[in-house]
Amino acid sequence: MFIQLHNVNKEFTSGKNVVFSLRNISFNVNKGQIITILGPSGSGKSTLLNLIGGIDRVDSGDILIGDMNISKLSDKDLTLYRRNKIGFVFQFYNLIPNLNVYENVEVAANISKNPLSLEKVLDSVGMLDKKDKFPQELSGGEQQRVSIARALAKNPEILLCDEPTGALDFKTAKEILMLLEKINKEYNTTIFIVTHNTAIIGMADRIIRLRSGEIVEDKINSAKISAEGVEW
Amino acid sequence: MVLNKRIFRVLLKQKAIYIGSIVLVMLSSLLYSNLNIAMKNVEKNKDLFLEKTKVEDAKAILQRPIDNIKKLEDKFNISIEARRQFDANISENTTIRVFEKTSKVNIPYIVEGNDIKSMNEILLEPNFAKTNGYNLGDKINILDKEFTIVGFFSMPDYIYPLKSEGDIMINYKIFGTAIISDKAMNEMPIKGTVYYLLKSHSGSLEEIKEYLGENHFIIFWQEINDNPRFSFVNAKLMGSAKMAIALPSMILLLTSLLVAVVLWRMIKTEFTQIGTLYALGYSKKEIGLHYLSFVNIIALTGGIIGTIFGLFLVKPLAEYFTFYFNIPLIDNSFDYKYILGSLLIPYIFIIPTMLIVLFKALRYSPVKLMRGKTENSKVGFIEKSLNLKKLRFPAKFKIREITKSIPRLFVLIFGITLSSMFLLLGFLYRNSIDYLLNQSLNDVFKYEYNYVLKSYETSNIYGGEEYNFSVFKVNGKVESFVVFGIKPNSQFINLIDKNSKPISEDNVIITKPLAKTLKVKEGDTIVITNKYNNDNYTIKIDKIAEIYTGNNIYMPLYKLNNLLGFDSNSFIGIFSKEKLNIPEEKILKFETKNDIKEAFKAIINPLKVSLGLVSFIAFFIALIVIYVVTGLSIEENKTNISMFKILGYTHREINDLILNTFTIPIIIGFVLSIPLLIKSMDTLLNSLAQNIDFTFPLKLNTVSIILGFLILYITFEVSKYFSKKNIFKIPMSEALKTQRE
Ligand SMILES: Nc1ncnc2c1ncn2[C@@H]1O[C@H](COP(=O)(O)OP(=O)(O)OP(=O)(O)O)[C@@H](O)[C@H]1O
Ligand SMILES: [Mg+2]
Repeated sequence: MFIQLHNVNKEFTSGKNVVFSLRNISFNVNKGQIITILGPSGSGKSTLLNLIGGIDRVDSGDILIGDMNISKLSDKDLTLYRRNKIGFVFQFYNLIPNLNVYENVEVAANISKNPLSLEKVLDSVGMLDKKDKFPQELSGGEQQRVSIARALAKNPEILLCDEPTGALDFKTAKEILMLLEKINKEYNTTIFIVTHNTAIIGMADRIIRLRSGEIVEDKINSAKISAEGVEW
Repeated sequence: MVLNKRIFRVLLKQKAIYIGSIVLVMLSSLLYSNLNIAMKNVEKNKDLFLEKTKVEDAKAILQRPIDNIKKLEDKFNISIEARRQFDANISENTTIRVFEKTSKVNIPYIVEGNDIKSMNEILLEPNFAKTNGYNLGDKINILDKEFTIVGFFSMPDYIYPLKSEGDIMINYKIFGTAIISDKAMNEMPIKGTVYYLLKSHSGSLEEIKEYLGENHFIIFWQEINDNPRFSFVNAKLMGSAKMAIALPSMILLLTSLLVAVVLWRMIKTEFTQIGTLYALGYSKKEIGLHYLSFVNIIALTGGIIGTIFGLFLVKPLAEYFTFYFNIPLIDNSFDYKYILGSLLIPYIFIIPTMLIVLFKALRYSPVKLMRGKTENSKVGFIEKSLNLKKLRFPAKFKIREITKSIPRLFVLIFGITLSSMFLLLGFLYRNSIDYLLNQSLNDVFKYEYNYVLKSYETSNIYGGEEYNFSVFKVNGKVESFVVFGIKPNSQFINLIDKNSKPISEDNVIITKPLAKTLKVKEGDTIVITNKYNNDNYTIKIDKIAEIYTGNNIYMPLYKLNNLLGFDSNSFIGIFSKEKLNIPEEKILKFETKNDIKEAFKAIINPLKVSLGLVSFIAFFIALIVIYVVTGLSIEENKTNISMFKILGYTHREINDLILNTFTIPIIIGFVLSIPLLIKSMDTLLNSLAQNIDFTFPLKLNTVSIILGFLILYITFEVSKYFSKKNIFKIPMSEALKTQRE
C-alpha cells in the first residue's frame, strides 16, 4: 500500500467549543490511483487533503506515505516531504501575478532535486506557446493549467487537487480533467481530486465520501470511464 | 461614520508599518521644530549679545595716536575707544592674548563670576579656562605678574578666538584671551599694540576713515564683517541654519513619500470595498476623508509625541548650540508657539502627497473598483519588457519584486541615500580633519622630536637636522609669526605646492594661512619686523605652501642667518626622528609631535556628540525605511509566501527570496550617497566661503566608506531579523483562502 491512514483524528476548536472534527479516518490507497473525495460543504474534504499533503498535522492517528509516517515528522522534514513528494492544485490557482507563466512553474522547479523539463511540462499542459504571458492575460482554465504545471514540475508522487474545476465552465473543466488523467497515465502519479461534482467520480479508481467528518462511503469504482466521457 | 470603526483594526493589523511611519513623523517634526527653535534662540542671543556689548564697526591701528578722542567722537557722531593688547606665553605651547578692558565698544560680557574691580584681577575666556583647568579664584601668572581669575567673559570681536586670522580652527589648548584693567595694563612690562575700536552712530564710517587716513595715517583697518573671529560665527550660523531646515525637510519629504506608498498599497487592496461603498451611495468626499483619517492618525500621533519630546529637548539644545557657536546664553526663553509648529509641520508635507494618491484612486468608476482589477488587469510595461530568461529563478523573482512598484523602489533608494548621507557626514568630518592634521603633521613635518636650545651654536654634534628661527610681525597685519631657516633638502620639512609637487627648500616659502592673512602672492615682496629688536627686513616670497594650518615662513638656513647677521651655520633648534642625547641644561624647550596631535584632538571632541547623534538618527531612519518597505513587500506577498511554504520552500529559502530582494537597491542608495554628500557639503561650504577666506579640504576615505556600509548592512540585518518573524507567522492556510487580492 502506498498511502495508509490509520484512525486519523483532527479537531478545530474555537475557544472551548469543538467546531469541527474529522473522526477515525482510515483507508489505504495504491500507487497510481485516481481518488475522488466527495461530500457536502464543510464535511472535511479540504481538511483531509491538507493532512495528506502535510500542510496540517493530525491530532492522533498515523498517515504513512510509503514507509514514512508523516504524522511523526518534524516541521523541517514535513517541509521536505511537501517539497519532494507533493503537488497541490487549488480551486483558485494562486499564481504569482508578477511572474510570467514560465516563471510561475519555475517557482516549483527551483526547489526540486530532479524537476521535469519545464518546456515538457508546459507542453503537456498545453501552455508552452503562452509561456511568456502573465496570469492576468490568461483565462481561468489556462491559469489552472499553469497551476497544474507548477504542481507537476517537481515530479511529485502525489497530486492533491482541491476543487480543481470549481471555478471553470464545463468545457474547460473537462479539459482539465483530461489533463489530470493524462498525467496519471504518463507519470503514474497518485491523484486525489476533491470535488462537489458527483459527475467526476466516473473517472476515478476510488470514491471516498465524507459527511460531517466521517467516511460514509469508500468504494472502488468498477465502472471507470475516461475523463472524456464525463458529463454533467 | 461607521467606516471609521475599522481604522484601528486596520492600524493594528499592520502595526509595524504604521508605527514605523509614526516614528519617522515624530523624528522629523521633533528635529524640525527643535533645530529651528534652537537656531532662532542662538540668533536672538547673538543679537542681544552684540547689542549689549556694543560691537565695533571697525578697528584700526594708527601711526599717530588720537589724543582728543572726545572731539572726534562728537565731530563724527561715533564712539571711539583705544584698546591695548599683547601676547604672552603662559606655558611652552600656550599663548594668552591680554586685552585692556573697554567700556564703550566691545564691552566684555561676563558669562560667569564678576567683573574686574582691582588691578590684580583678570577675566578669562571660558572655553580656554575650562580646557586648561583654570577655575574662578585661581591665580594665573602673566609676564611675572600674578592675577586672580574673577570671571569668564565673551567679547564680540573675538567670539571665535582664532590665534591668527589665517587659522581655520580654534585651539583652546594653545591659545586663549584674557582681560585686565587699564591700570594693570599700564603696569605691564611690555607696551602692547593699540587698536582703536570704532562704533558709528550714523551708520557711516567713510568720513572718519578719510579723516584718520589724512591725519593719523592708518596702518591697519578692518571692518567687523571682514574679521574672521566674528564672521566665522556668522558663517557657521548661516550654515547651520541651512542644515536646520534642510535636514528635517528631507526626512519629512521621505516620511510623506513613505506614508504615501503605505496608503496607496492600502487603498489598492481595498478597491473592491471602495467600489462597494460607492455603490452603497457614499460620496467620494466621504470615502476620501475616511482614508485621510489614517494619515491624520499618523501625522497627529507622530506630531504630538514629537512635540512632547521636543519640549524636553529645547533647552538643552539651545544651551548646546550657544556653546557650539561660542555665544553666551543671555536669554534662554523661547516662544512656545514655535513648538506648536511641530504639530502642523507633518501635515504640510504629508497632506499634498496623500491627496495625489487619493485622487489617483478615486477617479476610477465604481464598477471598475468593484471588480478590483483596475491595476492588475494590465501587465506593466517594465514587467513585459524585462528579459530575465538567462537568470536563475531567485534572481528573476527578486528583479520582478524590485520593479513591481517604482514609487516604493524610489522611496527605498531615497531613504537609504538620505540616511547614508547622514551616516557618512560624521566620517567626512573626521576624515577631513584627519587629513588636515596628517597633511600638516605627518606629510609635511617628518620629525618626531623638536629641540630648542638655550643658545645659538654653529656645529651640530648631536645628530638630527639643525635649524634656526626668529619671531617676526608685520605691522598692522600679523602680531607674530615664525620664520624658520632650514637646511636645503631638509629631511624633516617637506612642503608641497597646490599641485602637490614638492617645493625645493632653496625658496622662501610662506604657508597658505599666513599668505592669506598677509594677502601676498608668489613673487611679492613684504616687509617684516623682528619682534626682538624691531628691525625691518624686506623679503621676497617665492612660493606658497599648500598647508592648512600654521603661520610660518621657511627659507634656507644660511639666508635667514645672513638676514639676521649671524654666522651662516648658526642654529638654535634641531629636528630629529629619534630622541637625541643633548645635555639637559642646554635644552630650552622640547616637544614631540604627539603633544601637538593631542592638542588638536581636544578640539574635535565636542563635535563628536552631535555627529554621533546624527549617525544614530541615520541608523534609525535607515532601519525604519528598510523595515517598512520590507513590511509592505511581505504584506503584498502574503499569499505568495504561504504558497512557497506549501510548495515546500524552507524558511531560509523564503527569507532569501523576500528579504534579500532589496539588497541591490540598498547598495545603490548607499553608493549614490557618497557623491551627493560631497557635492552638497561642497556647495554648503562654498556658499559660506563667499564671506570669508576659508579652505577646508573635503575627504572621505575608503575605510570610512566601508565602515559606513557596514553600519548600513547591520541596519539591514536588524530589520531582516524583525521581518523574519513576520514571514514566519504567515500560515499556509493563507493561500487556501478563497480569492487572492
Ligand atoms: N483552520 C481552521 N480552524 C477552524 N476551523 C476550521 C479550520 N479549517 C477548517 N475549519 C472548519 O472545518 C470544517 C471543515 O472544513 P473543510 O474546509 O475541510 O470543508 P470542505 O469539505 O472542504 O468544505 P468546502 O466544500 O466548502 O470546501 C468547516 O466547518 C471549517 O469551518
Ligand atoms: Mg474545501
